[in-house]
Amino acid sequence: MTTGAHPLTARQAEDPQGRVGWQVTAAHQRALLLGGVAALAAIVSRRIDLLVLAVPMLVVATWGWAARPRATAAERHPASAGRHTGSDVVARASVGNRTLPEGTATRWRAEIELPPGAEEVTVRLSPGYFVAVDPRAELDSLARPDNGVVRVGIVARTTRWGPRRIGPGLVQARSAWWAYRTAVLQVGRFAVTATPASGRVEVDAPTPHPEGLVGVNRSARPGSGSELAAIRPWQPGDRLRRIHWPSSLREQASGGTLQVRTNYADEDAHVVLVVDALSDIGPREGIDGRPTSLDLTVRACAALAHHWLGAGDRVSLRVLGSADLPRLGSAAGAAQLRRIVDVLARISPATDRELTTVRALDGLVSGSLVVVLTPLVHPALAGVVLGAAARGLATVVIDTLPDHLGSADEDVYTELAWRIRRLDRRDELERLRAAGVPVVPWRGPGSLDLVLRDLARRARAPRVVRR
Amino acid sequence: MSTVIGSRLVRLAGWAAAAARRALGVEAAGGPAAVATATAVLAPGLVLLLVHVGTGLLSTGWILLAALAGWASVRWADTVVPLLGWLSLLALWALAAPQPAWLAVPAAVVLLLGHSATAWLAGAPDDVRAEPALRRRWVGRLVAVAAVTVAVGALAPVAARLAAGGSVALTTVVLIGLAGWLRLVSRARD
Repeated sequence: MTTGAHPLTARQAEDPQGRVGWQVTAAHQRALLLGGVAALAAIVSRRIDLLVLAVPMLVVATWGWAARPRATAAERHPASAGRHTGSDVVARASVGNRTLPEGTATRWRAEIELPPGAEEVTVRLSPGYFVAVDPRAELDSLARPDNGVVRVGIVARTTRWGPRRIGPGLVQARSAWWAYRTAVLQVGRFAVTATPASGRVEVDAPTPHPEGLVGVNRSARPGSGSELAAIRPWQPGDRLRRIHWPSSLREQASGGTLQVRTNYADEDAHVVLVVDALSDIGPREGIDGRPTSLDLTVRACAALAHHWLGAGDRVSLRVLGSADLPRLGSAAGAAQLRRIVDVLARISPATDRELTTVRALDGLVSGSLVVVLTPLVHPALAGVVLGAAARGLATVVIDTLPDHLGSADEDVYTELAWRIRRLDRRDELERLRAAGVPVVPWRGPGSLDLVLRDLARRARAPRVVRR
Repeated sequence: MSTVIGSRLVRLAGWAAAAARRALGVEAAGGPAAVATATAVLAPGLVLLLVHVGTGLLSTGWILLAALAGWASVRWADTVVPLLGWLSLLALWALAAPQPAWLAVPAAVVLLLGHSATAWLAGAPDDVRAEPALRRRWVGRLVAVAAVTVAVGALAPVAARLAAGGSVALTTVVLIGLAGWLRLVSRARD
């Protein structure tokens, strides 16, 4: 039992109703047999020393038997049929948040009803995949309180985004001298969703091609926004509140006409976030370790969505390489942010390599800002990006290949393979840059400022595109 | 002086537990599990030592038996193996009949501790963190049973000297009654 295996995992009995009965332990049988044999030998041989040896075992065995868990008289009454519980142990569990950002914790709670005679209960929460349970957080072997209900709360922390499982909790109760115990009861297995951590992104640059109805980006056309465009002579149809009185007075002195102030319109932009889930490169160490390429991708995507949706823009999401994920259409607001992080949390990398890259750009309209988040390892992605650029869409590539990959601490063959791969990538990056597509390594807040300013400037300049 | 000896004994027990856990491939753990492992491993050897003190016999075979019993108690704590080990030691005691008879008192206490330690190892995770009330309850009960054992060990020779016929069988019955009474007292206090 103590060879490294967790005693609570050695014998598991799962009951759909969270109920489990009692069984005699080897310790009780040992005490009974040792005491009985020694007492018998003492009686037969009339030896005091053998009687003394029998004393502790006899006392322990008798004590353990007398204190065994039993149903109370009220519970044995026929009127209590259908209710809890006889001498069974009944456990119920719940969990706090079902959706939580990675790196944050939730509390798994259990309520265990112990019958009279049950003296203590041990509760453990089995750690799940990328779910950390602090082993030193709380006591896990507890005495039965007077009301017979033990309440336990264990903190579990998700350490990586994605669908996660918290639990089950393993519950085992024991009687006096551990003469009787229950089988290990599994209770409370909960599916939770860990959403990608979206750090704060500070993008001060305007979004290119704002063509919506309302928003915060300065449009190229005049309208009723807040940014000054020009001051011009009054025309029929101009509103009185737009008259610029200082200029009008100066013009009147020289015989001119009324002057009015014109503004640029404020509009929202459409941002298309394209996530490359065709591969996930690097060791998966969770939020406390080094990120994989997909970790960087989804966290960057969540952060950008958070920023642009917060700024009032419309954002849509396309995930390439992950099966059974919907394309999220263009929408704005907090609900869209929730939808985006939910889809990102459900990404299963490299489960769909067929049609997603071919149809990646279907339905995109001009004026959209296409942001492709990719480690640029899969060769199809460069084609997608070049296709978007050729259609005249403002396209930005965010390079999410982690810096630590291919570092000197890898073995010589891995390092060599990475060198070759990086040479290939360099060629692809050059091709993209030659096509006018900026490639920005993801460095967190402020990564996109310079590039977006350039794109906004270029968007206003005349150009020739291939149709 | 006694504090120094006590701390050295604790250190020795810790060292023995660590060595035993390393030898058995048991996960590292501290607290009650380490004490229980040390107790379960050392208990058979202590009983054999008492047999040796009472009979003057100690051979390599005995040491091997003690090592086997201690190892088995930890390795297969939740099986019938510890019972077989203790039954073997009991048979050895019955055959060797160590003298003086009061040596049975410390042997019985060691048996109690070894049994309880094995029960703990069989039922609790290695790194279990028990409520202080539970630890106090265990210690209190062990002291109570040890006190009963000492009392019986002290009174039985007196009864034998008085030639009270059938004292062993009578004592056995009284013991069972006493255990029931202890249980009632314990429940009332809890």
